[in-house]
Amino acid sequence: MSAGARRMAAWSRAARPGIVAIALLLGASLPACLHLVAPYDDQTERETFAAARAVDLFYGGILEARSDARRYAKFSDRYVQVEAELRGLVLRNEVRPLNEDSVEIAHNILTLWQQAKDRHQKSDGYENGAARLDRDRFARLFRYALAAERAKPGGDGAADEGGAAVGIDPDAMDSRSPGGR
Amino acid sequence: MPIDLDDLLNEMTRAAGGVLAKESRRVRAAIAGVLRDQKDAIAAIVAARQAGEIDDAEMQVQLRSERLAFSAGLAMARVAGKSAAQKAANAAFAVIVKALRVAVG
Repeated sequence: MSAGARRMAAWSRAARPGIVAIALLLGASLPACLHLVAPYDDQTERETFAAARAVDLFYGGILEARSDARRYAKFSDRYVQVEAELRGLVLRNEVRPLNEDSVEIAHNILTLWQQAKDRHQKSDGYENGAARLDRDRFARLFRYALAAERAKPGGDGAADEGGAAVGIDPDAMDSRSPGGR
Repeated sequence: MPIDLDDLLNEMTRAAGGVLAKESRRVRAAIAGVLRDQKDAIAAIVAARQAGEIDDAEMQVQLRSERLAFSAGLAMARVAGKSAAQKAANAAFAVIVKALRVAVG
């Protein structure tokens, strides 16, 4: 055996524990390395339920009021409160890595809310037909937001059937918000 | 013990495939649910217009709003898809880890 080969063999024997340790470390870390989507976040779910409830209460108030008692000024404070909640929800989703899909959902909810507010402000009224359609759409979007959260690793996979299992209706929100899963 | 790469690949494929078979059903169900929601929402808008509850201008607004709702639904389905892919990939990686542990004794 040449001097070079002997040196290589000696180095290999000396380095073997280190190589094994690195291989084990690499092997042990592989499953934890692959992340395509943010993990489930309980706080986001609670905030989503709270925002869903606020929007549903808002529309409950609109639909309870007589058509001629739906002037924008009467509801402007609640628009501001709900918008603040929705902006908080967008921000909470934005600061989490690998979470762009939930950001899109939250952002779409916020956009639709601002559009509804602008229409109410311009027309100074809110007809029953539009209010019911808007309320149902918001409920659906919150259901998507919750289903997306629960579909993430660590959640319970509620994206099945378009998130129907999450079931956002006023009764469900009463029992689940905030924090009750 | 040496690692048989063919066996390893087969085992990884089985592990990932098993997870994907289960998870892909969930993703398909999520997409089907979103499409069903969309159909129901459009039907509700048309019904409201026919009942005179909304006018033509409001119907256009409602239909435009549905685009954002639909894209939100697809975003939800994308999360389910990514989560499924992550689970499948990690199942395959778990096979590598197990093989490595056996190989290094």
